[in-house]
Amino acid sequence: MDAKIKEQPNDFLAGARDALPILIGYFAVSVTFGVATVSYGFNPWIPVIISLTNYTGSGQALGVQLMAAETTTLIELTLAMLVINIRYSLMSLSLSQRLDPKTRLWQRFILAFGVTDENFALAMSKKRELSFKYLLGIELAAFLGWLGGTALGAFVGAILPEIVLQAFGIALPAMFVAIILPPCRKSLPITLVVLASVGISCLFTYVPVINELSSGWVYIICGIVTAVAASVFFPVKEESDSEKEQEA
Amino acid sequence: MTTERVILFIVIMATVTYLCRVLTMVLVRKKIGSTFVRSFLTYAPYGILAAMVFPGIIYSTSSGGVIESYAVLIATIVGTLNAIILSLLKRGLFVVSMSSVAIVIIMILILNAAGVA
Repeated sequence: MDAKIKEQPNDFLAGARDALPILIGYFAVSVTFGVATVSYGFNPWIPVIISLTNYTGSGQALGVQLMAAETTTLIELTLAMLVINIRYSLMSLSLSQRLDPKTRLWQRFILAFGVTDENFALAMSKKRELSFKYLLGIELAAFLGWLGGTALGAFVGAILPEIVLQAFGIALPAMFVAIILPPCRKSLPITLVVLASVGISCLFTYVPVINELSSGWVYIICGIVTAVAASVFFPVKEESDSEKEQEA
Repeated sequence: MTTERVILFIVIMATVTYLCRVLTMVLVRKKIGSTFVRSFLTYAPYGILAAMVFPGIIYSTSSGGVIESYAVLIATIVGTLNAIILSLLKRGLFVVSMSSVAIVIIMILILNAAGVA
């Protein structure tokens, strides 16, 4: 495809149309997030406000689980959010270099809010310069699915019977299983990261004395220790961006 | 949990998330040269998510980390195995998550009916 395509008036719609599969996928996933959050005992508006202001799957789910644990401190929450979300800085960086050079600073501030794994993968799969309108189309369409699903889940969740809400406790962890295991089939380093992290996490859960440490710290320690070790033994080569595009 | 605390948590979550996204979008204009940094950013989400899922998923259907009955424990273990198997078969997030929820509900109902306490 031609490297330079002029920005067209329908660029926004083109982006929104391309993001339709993400919209549908986000809708389904965020319904789960809505119900799960309500099942922890939160008011239905809480998950809606979280989705409106965060717009990230794994970060929101982690945040809600830490919120549900009464003992979580603010520093734990901040560090855990940093570890889980820091990958976005890499995606923003890559996107930034593909943006139309005419993109204004205020436009960059808006686009930054909608950098998610899926939106990033879709945008980077387009082998051309990205206009503000096109990227905004992707991000807004996907955001619509994300918000709509959360609201539906939250308000339907509020009227579900007790046993269903109890069972919904497994919804978010099960979703994480579906995020972390598929890449393990292709990547030995990721498999080792997952196994090592589970091992350390089990130690902090079952071994006396160290199991007094609160869950937020355990997640942070596991995330940092395993990622540092993997980075030392299995450094990721430059080309990882293009691999990521194909996986998504 | 008080309303103030919930709001404070949400503000922190939103701020940290947005900062992670916006700083490199508006400030940095060149590639991250360090292989170590790139590698760390790639692996960190897997490390933290794995720690959160296991062994926590076993207690995810109980409140306060105390498993209330064998029925709930068995149902949750089966639901977890379902999530692991379907994920390795590359089913989507929604399918994995919802099937595990459904299995937990059905298993609890069956085990309770069978008199497992």
